[in-house]
Amino acid sequence: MTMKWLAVSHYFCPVNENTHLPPLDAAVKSTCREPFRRVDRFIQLALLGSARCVQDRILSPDCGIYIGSGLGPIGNNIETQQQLIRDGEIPKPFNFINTLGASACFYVAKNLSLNGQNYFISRRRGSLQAVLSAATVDLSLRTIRQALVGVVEEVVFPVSEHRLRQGLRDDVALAEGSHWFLLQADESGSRSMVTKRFVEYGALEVFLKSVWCVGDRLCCASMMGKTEADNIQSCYSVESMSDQFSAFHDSLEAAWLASCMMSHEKGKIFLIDGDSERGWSLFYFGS
Amino acid sequence: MAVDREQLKLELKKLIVTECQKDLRPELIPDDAILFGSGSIYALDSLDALQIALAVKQHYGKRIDGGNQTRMALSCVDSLADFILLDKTD
Repeated sequence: MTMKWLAVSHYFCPVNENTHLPPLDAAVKSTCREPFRRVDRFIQLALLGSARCVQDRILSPDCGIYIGSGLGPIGNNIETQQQLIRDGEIPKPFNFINTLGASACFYVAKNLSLNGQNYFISRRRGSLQAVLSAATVDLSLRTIRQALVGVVEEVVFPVSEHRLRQGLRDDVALAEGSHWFLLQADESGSRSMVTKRFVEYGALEVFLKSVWCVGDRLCCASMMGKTEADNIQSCYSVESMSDQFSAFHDSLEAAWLASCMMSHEKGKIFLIDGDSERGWSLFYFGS
Repeated sequence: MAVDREQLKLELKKLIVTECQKDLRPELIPDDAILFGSGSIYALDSLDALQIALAVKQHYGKRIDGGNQTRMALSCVDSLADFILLDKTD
């Protein structure tokens, strides 16, 4: 399936014990098309990223929204659980409503006046692939003509507890981010995005060899089978996401992809994911 | 006591602005301004009422239930302050 990518946005903010999360209120207010209240940080991140990606474009009203996240709106979930379990109280309504990741989808749709497909998918270490795949299916079926695909991760203070929840070492810095891609069912011109599925790893390898050029960039998703990832690493100039982003983020693939696309360097960008059980997915983006 | 009451009203205005995420300066809310309903310029609704009621319980230990008398406490900042100070002034 070939389609076109129209725009991309990338917000990535490293966080550690000695930093404070930058307030997003002013940025959200100045970027969004209407003022919002009853929103939490996760929704603010989604609003900010999606609005920066779309900018002044008028989207097709049936444009689909696909938000992925490894952790989802974890801040609100923690607060709600504390109100319920620790304090023995009824949770506050704004906290309770926003425990659903789909709340972010609602606000993004409202801001951009969209009424198409609207999905929130939570998948640890693989949310980008999940939302890209879902959007690709809907675009290929012509259910929608455009898809706004985003990946959002928030960090909750104290950082030490956030690390504990994710099973990360004490010396690992963390980051939150919001990375967005606007796609369109259109096979013409530049800025193409191709997705391919392979049952056998061998077929993926053959295809990759046939399209690979010097200057292309490639990255193996963190959920990819290790043997095959090692094999690809030995054959191609594979970029390490952790080298580029010193702080941990549950969706580093999204951060890597968005930053590559925004760098405007020549060459294709490949993202590979899969294993022998799930099969293999290849996403590649042409400039 | 009068100073405490003024302080409390300012705290309540800040609480309303923070809890309801209203983009306005707390000190500009008049003490007797109607907070809810069509006659209010603040456009707060039943969800805001529940949010404020739970915040009041959390901060002041006073429960605003569904009864008419306690519900009236949410009419304006003045009545909310009266409600919170009710037992304390007995």
